Amino acid sequence: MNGDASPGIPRAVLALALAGAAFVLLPIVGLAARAPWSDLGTVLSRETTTKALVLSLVVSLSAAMLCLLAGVPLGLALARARLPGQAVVRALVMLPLVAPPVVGGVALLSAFGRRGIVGRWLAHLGVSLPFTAGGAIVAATFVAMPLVIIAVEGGLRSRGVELEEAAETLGASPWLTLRAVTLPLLRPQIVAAFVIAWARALGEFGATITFAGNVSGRTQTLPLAVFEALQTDPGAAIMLSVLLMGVSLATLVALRGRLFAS
Amino acid sequence: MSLSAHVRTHRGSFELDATIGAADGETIGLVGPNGAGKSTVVRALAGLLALDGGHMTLDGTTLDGEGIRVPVRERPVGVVFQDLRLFPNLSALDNIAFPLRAARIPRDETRRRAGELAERLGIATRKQAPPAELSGGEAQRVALARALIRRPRLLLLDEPLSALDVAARREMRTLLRAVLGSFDGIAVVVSHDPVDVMTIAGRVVILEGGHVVQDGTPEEIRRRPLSAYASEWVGVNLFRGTLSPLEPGVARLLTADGELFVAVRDPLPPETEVIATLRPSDVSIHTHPPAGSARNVIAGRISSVSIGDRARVVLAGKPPIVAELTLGSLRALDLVEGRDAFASFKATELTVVPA
Repeated sequence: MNGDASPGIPRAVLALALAGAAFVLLPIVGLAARAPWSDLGTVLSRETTTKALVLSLVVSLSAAMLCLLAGVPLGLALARARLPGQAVVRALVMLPLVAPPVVGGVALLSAFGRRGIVGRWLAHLGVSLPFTAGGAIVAATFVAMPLVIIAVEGGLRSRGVELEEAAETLGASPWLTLRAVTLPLLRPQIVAAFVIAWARALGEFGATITFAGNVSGRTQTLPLAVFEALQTDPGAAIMLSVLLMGVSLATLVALRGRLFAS
Repeated sequence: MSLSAHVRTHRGSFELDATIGAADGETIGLVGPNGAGKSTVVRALAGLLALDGGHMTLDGTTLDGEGIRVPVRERPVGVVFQDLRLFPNLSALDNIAFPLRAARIPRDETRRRAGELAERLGIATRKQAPPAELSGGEAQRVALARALIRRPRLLLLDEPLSALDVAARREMRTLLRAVLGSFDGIAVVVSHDPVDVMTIAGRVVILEGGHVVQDGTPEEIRRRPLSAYASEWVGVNLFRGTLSPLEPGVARLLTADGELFVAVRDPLPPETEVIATLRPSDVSIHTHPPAGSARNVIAGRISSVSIGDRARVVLAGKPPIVAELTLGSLRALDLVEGRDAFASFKATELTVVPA
């Protein structure tokens, strides 16, 4: 590290920073060191693995899209609307971010489970979410959506309403203003929100196993497969973990600085 | 009157209560010190700020008051904001065309009309540029075009020249005069620069502390400013003319009705069109030809004397000069209307800007 580039950082802080970096890096190094690389082919070609991988991608991408569909409007409303009870709504929609995911799973069961307040009506319509891939998507959406709301609301609040006001004086309807001004300017935040939500959904475990269960080929996503393998075949668990880590790393590299730049 | 507005609103302890009226084709200069409420008036007239009371009528249609509040986007009002507020994601042309797009006018016509206006305002070559790549003057023109394209009945310009450098300011001032001259609606120009206001606006409204303290032509305000701000900033002598070099450091300013000597720091090209300002407090009045070193001595008859905290004397010379003096000097010199006198001031007291 160059002395000129970091003026005024006390040595003690630098030491702690190094310790922090080591703490994050060591498990990754451990994973790479302990991975039975020779088994890579067999683990990856197992049917449970491919199914879990495909399911994970389908579930996480669907969840990320659902997060945008509902989270962007919610972030817009929270940042710009002035509605009664808005502060309460903001606090409640952030709850999945801080609540334990397993609690989220229990809450989802209470709402959408067979005897849940909504689930029993869905059951009448022949729709059942628990223990299905749809349930896994719902669970991942539930935990990841606050991240989209935060990104969208933060992006809007950092800018003010000057341009929307200008659009209004130029005769634009709220819909045109949204389409031509607000959303295009929010693009970087929406892209970042999608990626963060997707990453969160990809790693989702607690709410998924509680609400959707751990049915191989139906609801067993990669993290659940890792958990199961750990109890029977630790080597396979490590290989699967390396796989997940690789996907995450590829994401970070693809995004580079864009995620946190704005 | 085609615009009749009584703007009443308050923010905390600040209270705004201003009446503004204007006829078709008129350009009003809205001036006042910082915090006087100028931008608040603009926001209220645009409908961006709800009135606490009062009303606004434009072309006989009530936009505010009597329980009516016409939505901002339905008002025939164009705004050029001080910070311009161009859409950074749209090209210059698409910015200009935006109001037509909002009015659901077909795309071909939208582009054609925006292109024509861009040409008229001298930015035809910059149509495809995003706002971030425009110079200050170009961005100002795009903002002006965007506000004009829907042919508003009321055009609000908030400090349209303040962000520009000297050269761009001169061009923009000339352009604004031309554009507003052919504009059949009403324009309200907010500015803190007396030269801008008096060269662009036919009538000046002075706002101080949320209230209108004076409303009149620049000439009326020069003759009899009703507040310290008015005499300091709006009540200045203003001469428009051609500047020609005379001798090192001095130039001759030929106005329509006389001539003056002006100190110039840099050599200038012959025949430069300029506007010169002179503060009335820098002018001395004498009853006999003065013997001092002042380069400018103008003889004439006193055409008006008005008395406030200080006295304002208008000398009908070539050119006419307004002087401000203490009540003591007024009495000592026994200056009354109809008396012949002399005004003198140094060549260095004149401030020159390109016209």
